[in-house]
Amino acid sequence: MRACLLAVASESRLGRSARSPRKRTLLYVRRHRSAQPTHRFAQQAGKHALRLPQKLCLCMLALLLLATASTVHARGADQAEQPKVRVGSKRFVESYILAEMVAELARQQGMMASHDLGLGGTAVVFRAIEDGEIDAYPEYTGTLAETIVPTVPTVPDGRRSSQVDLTSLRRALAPHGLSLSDPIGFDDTYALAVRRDVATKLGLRTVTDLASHGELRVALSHEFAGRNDGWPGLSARYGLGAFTPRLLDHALAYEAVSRASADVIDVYTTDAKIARYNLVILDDDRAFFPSYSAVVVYRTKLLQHTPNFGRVLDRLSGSIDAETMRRLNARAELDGVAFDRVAKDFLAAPGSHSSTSFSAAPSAMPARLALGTWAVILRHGPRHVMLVAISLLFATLLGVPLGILAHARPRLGVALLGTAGVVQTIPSLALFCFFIPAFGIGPVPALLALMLYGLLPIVRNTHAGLASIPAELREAALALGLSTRERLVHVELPLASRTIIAGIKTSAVVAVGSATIAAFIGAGGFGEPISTGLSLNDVPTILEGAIPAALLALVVQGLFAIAECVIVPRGLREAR
Amino acid sequence: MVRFEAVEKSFEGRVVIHETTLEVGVGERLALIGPSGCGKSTLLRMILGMVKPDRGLVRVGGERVTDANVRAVRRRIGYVIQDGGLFPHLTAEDNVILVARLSGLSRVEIAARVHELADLARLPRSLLHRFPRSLSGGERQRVGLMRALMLDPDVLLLDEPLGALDPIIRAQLQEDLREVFCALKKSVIVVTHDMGEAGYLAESIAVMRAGKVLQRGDVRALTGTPADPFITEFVSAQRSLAEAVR
Repeated sequence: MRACLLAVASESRLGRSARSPRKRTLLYVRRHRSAQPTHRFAQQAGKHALRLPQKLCLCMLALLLLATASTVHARGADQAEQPKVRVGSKRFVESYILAEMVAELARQQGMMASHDLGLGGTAVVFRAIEDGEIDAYPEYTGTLAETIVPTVPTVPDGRRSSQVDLTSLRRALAPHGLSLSDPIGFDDTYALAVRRDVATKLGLRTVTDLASHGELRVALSHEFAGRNDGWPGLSARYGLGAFTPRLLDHALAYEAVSRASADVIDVYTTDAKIARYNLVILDDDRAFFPSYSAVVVYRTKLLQHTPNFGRVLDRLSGSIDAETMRRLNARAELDGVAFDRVAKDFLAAPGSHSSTSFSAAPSAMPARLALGTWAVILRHGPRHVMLVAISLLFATLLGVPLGILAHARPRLGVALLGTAGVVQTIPSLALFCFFIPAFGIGPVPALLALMLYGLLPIVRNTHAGLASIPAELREAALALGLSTRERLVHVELPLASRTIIAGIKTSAVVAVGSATIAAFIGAGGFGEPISTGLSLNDVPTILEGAIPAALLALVVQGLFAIAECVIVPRGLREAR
Repeated sequence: MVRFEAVEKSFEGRVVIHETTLEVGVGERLALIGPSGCGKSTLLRMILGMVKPDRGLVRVGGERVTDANVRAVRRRIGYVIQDGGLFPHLTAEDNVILVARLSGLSRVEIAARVHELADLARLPRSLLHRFPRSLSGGERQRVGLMRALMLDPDVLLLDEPLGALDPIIRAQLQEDLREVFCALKKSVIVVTHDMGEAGYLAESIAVMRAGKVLQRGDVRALTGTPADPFITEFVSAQRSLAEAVR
């Protein structure tokens, strides 16, 4: 499970998504006052959703309509007069900062700009821009070539073995209604890094230099070790066969190298921690690693309707080199400066903002944790509760009738319970992702998935509760001349209520847990700090999400104890 | 009032009711008696439409019981089972008035009827607000009787109503039941396996064995002119106190 979470939580900015943990995603948004907790569509759907409890009679159909309606509503909003730009980003710091820059520059050009923070991984964000839910987002050429438009040929040239041809990329993106800015200036690709003291002592500058030092200990991330354009290819190109790399989680790699239990690790060239841990990047002198040049992908129509956006792109073009990007990442990721602050400061005076506190190790954890947990409850609690409440409401509205049906029609019942059981075995993340093609990202697919998860306990318990009613009571109700509906309402459901409530309670507690995974598809909730913490391997941040989720589960238990007193008839309650 | 016309019933290839014709007139009280599994409860359930005869038909008040009218028929029948069959989630009173409430009777009417029935069934009114589990077996049975009588049915069916009670309470209830039967002049069919109880509660007794009614008559006829050796055997199996003392 954790591996699964890690995979999506930390979709790599190079777009090699879901294959391996990438460690340098967002610093937790709590620190960034301007950061929006969720993107706008999520909020809109949330507003709709909050009215739902008052309309108990609405069923699944309504939810689907709602999903459509909120999307339509959201899309309708861009018809307004003032030019609007919605910038998206992926779930890591660098993407946030670049997106903030685009948004800020757009504002300076008189546009209304918003930043939909951390929509998800490459596939999700690309889909959002294709669908017009966002207008622009930062991307990397290699990612586009590899995952989005794999038809683009990579041309071997003198410098890079697989330099991505911008013209071909632009041609490939055109049918999607998308265009590409000029390169922002830095490459964010794989590299090998060594401790500075080792590099100095051995005079290491390039990967070629490394080849003759087989005694050095190499520690690699699982992904890098397994990819053809990672270690195997690199090793072949440079003749690194003498090394026997150890594999470890990427987040631990920096720790390992800083404690001198490893000498060489794989990094991304703009990793904030390269400077913090005092590492030196070895030059890829035989041009092995592909180019992952940062660019902005934008909707072609945006530039047509809002020519000023061109100035935004011009301003960014060639403005940030890898060293600068490392510093900016470090400011946000290591110093905890808000993304928009980092972006604005850079735009105001490029180059003047060196990161100040590389040496500052995380300290005063308990205090930070306590404070963070409160902030998390306030920030993510309502959304989490909304996810649980709405999905539970619909699971109940659907599950109880299905349970009744399963009991009334035993053959159908077997099929129903079987199906609900199968749904339960689908890994939750897979189920969440399953709805993305139909409903996009955000709370709607999350609600659907949570509802499906919640179904089984409710259907099963409703069925079991009805089946456990003694035959003589069933017969007594029948002999009284009650109709099927009267028997159900006045005798059978009340008699089964205890079991049914227990099923709903199970479902609710499961939903509190499962909803934390909803954050991975942009639905928000306590899963946000958890996913962030997982991707940063930062236990306190994980706890900031996990503790409120656990507390909520306890609250839910308590609420159900109260609900039982209200719902279960007194004659049954006192009997036990 | 209740008439079986050549009914037959099999379950999974086993005949549980051989061709049977039986009638209970208006105000008549019949006891069905016989060993376990002889089909007496099945006959009772046929009247309620909960068991459908394979052949033949059942009439209640001259009307044939069909799927279409079965609910209406049931509301004209009071049904009491062993231990009352009360719904545990409802108070004694709510058990009694459930059907009346759903039939749209007014509160006032219902309240008056409940008090009337409590007196009739000799149930202290203070017990009306209790849940079944805090009533004794005898009290539960009295509530069950009240529930059966709530809509003032034409027919009262009792399936071993006193089977689970201890002897003293049982004797008391037998007396009270007989009083109620005589006072209300309803058609009554009571299933029991106790000859004494049958003779005490009903005017005539139908002795059943293996899905057949062997003989119908009063206690005197059954003991004096038994139609089948089984009847002699069955009657003599009910030992008297005198026998025990000897």
